[in-house]
Amino acid sequence: MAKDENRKESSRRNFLKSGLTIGAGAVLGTGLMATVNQVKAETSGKKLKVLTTDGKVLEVAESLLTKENEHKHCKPITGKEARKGIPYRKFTMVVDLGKCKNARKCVENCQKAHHLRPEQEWLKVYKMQESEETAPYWFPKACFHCDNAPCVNVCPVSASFKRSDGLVLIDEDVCIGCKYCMVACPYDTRVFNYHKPKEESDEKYSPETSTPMREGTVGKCDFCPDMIRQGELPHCVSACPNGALYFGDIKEDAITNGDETVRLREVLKDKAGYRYMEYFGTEPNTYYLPPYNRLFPFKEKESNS
Amino acid sequence: MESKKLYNLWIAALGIVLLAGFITIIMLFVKGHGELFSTIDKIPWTILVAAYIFFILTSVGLTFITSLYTVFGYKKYQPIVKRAQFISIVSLITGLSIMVLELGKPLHMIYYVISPNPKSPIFWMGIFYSLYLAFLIVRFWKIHNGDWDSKLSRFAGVGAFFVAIAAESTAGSIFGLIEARPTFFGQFMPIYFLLDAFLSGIVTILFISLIYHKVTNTSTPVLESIYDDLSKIFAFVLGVTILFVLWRTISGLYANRPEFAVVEHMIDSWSFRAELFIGLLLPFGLMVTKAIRKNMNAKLIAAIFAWIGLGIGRMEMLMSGQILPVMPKVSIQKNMILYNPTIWEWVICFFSLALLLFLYTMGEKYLKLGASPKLATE
Repeated sequence: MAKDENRKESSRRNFLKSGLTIGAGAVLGTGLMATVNQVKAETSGKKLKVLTTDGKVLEVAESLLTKENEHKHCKPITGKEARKGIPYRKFTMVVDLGKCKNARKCVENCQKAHHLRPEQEWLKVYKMQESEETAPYWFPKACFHCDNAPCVNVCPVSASFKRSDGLVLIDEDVCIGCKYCMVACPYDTRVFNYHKPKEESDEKYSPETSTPMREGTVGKCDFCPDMIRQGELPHCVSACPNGALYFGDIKEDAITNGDETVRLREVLKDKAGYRYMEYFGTEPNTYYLPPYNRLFPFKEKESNS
Repeated sequence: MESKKLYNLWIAALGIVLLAGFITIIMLFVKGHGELFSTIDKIPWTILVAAYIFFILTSVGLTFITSLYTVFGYKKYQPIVKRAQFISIVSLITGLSIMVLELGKPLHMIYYVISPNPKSPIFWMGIFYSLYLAFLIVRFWKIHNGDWDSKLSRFAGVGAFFVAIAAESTAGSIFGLIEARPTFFGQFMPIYFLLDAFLSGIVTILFISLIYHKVTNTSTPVLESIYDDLSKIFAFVLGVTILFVLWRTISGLYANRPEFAVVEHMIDSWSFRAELFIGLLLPFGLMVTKAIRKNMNAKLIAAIFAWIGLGIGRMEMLMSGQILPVMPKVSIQKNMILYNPTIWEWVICFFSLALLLFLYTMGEKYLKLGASPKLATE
């Protein structure tokens, strides 16, 4: 009820203000999400039909469609500016465990966007089971961007830092590669860049894009601040075919998975949201909704749809 | 003639290991850690960190030995001070060198100065060890020039002792402050590091000195009396360490939290048994038996066993907090992660040991490490 109202009222809130995210997979037959950056009345070139989240079918020029995987980062924010954060924002992620079926699109899209090697997963999907008697479920886990982050506290050179918008980022141009943050993180979210990046890149390094990765330093999920600056969702969120991942702003009390936008506080109340391993006192900025009313039965073998 | 032959053989052996090490280091800088090392994200700290801890513990322990004279004023121990002080310096240099090889981006160390984080134990460890090295060098330089008791010389000696305590306990706190890993976490870790440092110091001075005197036939009754005293302290520190290891194990077995499952796993491992039986109980048994303790060869054997045990123990301690993933769910925690160092990691470890022994040999040859103003008695 209240939730439905919210959905109606805030279907296209701040994160999507400059872009229209559309589920084009069914129409394109590619299984990929697509983003229309500017919908113009172009007439030349090949046209494609795409389905909007409002259920309308639009015909647009193919040139206007940018596949998520080919997304270009915005102008890199570097130096002190990258440490400040986006003003008046406090970002959060909410994971609805009832909607995850281990499709792994989030993992793949994250890896492609950040040019990670196959063994490097900034977002991992674990099979979780409290005990042998209880039901297993899939548990996607990226960095929790803790307010009291152990990784930030232990970094001897302040390469890991906390921003005003809640994001915990790493400046790989400062990181000495001591791996203390990896040992200190209770959530096993950090990965070491043991090798050179998979692909050569001319991009200028920025802690906001974390690309091109620096060999010999530590990397992790950054909540894609470059995407946020462009008014778009992090790569994992927009890639999830089942809408299990929500991203939003705590200060605005709004989160979206690209299909629906809901009030953060209400959804946490209604669905008994919780933070993982709360007892560590790290104040994570990621919430989980317990796997009740599951959309899919649990299957051990991973599903790719 | 015979001893010269032995010396040349010794230098040649060290030279081969050092050469292999240099080649490996060049390969490391060209190819990167990912190509040469056994790289697992779930076990971030591996054998090079264990080796680093081993050498810094040795350095600090040797400073504790020198403090018998420098801080506590027992003149009897003056004849071993210069040697202990020098090995302390080269051990610290070796430890710091191996840490540089472990770091992914050693050149970024400049950010220690540009963007320090005083909340980090590693930051303070870096500060303390830098200070410690400075004190050690000043003190050794003064001693080497025959200045044992000037204000500056004494200040450097006493300063090195106190900074060593700060540095070593801070190194322990790097583990002791990690709440995410219960087998590391706790206030005892800094104390344990100090205890192990003391043990390392005694073992190293006995090990190196006794071999040196054996080879060069330079033992004297005064020196033997010093080593007799040290072997008593050795027995005591071994006893305390055994108690510590046993209680750490018992508390780990008693605990219910899933993270402590690693303790049960460790008990079944050859490394734990080697550390406890060969590295601690056997030398303890030798050193508490008066008739055996009096024998110089027995001291040497006990020191060698304890030294091997210390090496294994560092690895054991390091792995105890890492081989079990930090995610506390039964489905993930069924298996421990295996870590086996690559041949290149072993080469670097042996290189560091050879570096220490080579520097020590040069020190013995050129710096008169057995010197003292007089063989004074207490």
